[in-house]
Amino acid sequence: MSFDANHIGFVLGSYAISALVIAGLIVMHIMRARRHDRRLGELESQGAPRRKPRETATK
Amino acid sequence: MFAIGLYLALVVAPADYQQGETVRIMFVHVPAAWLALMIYSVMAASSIVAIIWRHPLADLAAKAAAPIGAAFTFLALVTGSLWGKPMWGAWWVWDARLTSMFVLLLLYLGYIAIWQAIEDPRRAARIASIVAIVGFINVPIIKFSVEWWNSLHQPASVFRADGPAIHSSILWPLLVMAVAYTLLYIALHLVAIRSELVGHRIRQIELARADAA
Repeated sequence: MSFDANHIGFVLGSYAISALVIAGLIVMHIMRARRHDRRLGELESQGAPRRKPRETATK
Repeated sequence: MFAIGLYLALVVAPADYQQGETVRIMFVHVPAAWLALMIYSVMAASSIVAIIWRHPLADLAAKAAAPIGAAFTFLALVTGSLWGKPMWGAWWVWDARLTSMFVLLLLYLGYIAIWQAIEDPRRAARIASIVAIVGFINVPIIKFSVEWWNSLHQPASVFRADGPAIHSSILWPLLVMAVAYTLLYIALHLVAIRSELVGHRIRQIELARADAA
């Protein structure tokens, strides 16, 4: 890729915004998963029943 | 896969004889646009399963897909605009393809808004499913808009009955980037579905506590 080419700013801008949005998506999903895991852990440590294994639950 | 795709897109692929270096925008624009359509199709299919078979996971799968689809639709529109300015001389035109993609973004945002606005998850799921299914009519409109109406946007150049119309030096980087985008979507969707399941469990526990209190 030539950095002296015409319109190179549009190319770099496209890759930069794609990287930004994709990184945002990844971070958002990881943070949300961690937040939910932490909250569920708190609730279970406060006495909320854990999910029973399927075999036990259907007996 | 992203590393290989970016290497092919930025280093190996040649500049186009007409578009010059701006052809490289296609390697991020086209996969985003494909995924925008694919994710909406997944959402609509999940919504059909949710409405007909009442499978609880189907609602959560559709709900989890929406923000990812909205993000890829946004990327398709923005990178398309960044390509359009140097190539067409305009950031935006109310062309059939661009307008129908914009409608797709509104459908995603509307779907997300329904889940946010309605407190009862069952009611939200039902209304959101209907919106997703009705909105699916826009997917073939987007796909065939370049054939049905006069459009500035170029017609399909990869998935054609007579084979791809672009040179392999451009086609391969495009396909590798498309695979990378698709794998990323699958990973994000699985994480999001798991989060929705855990969130559902948290709501159940909190409701049970509120009832007991």
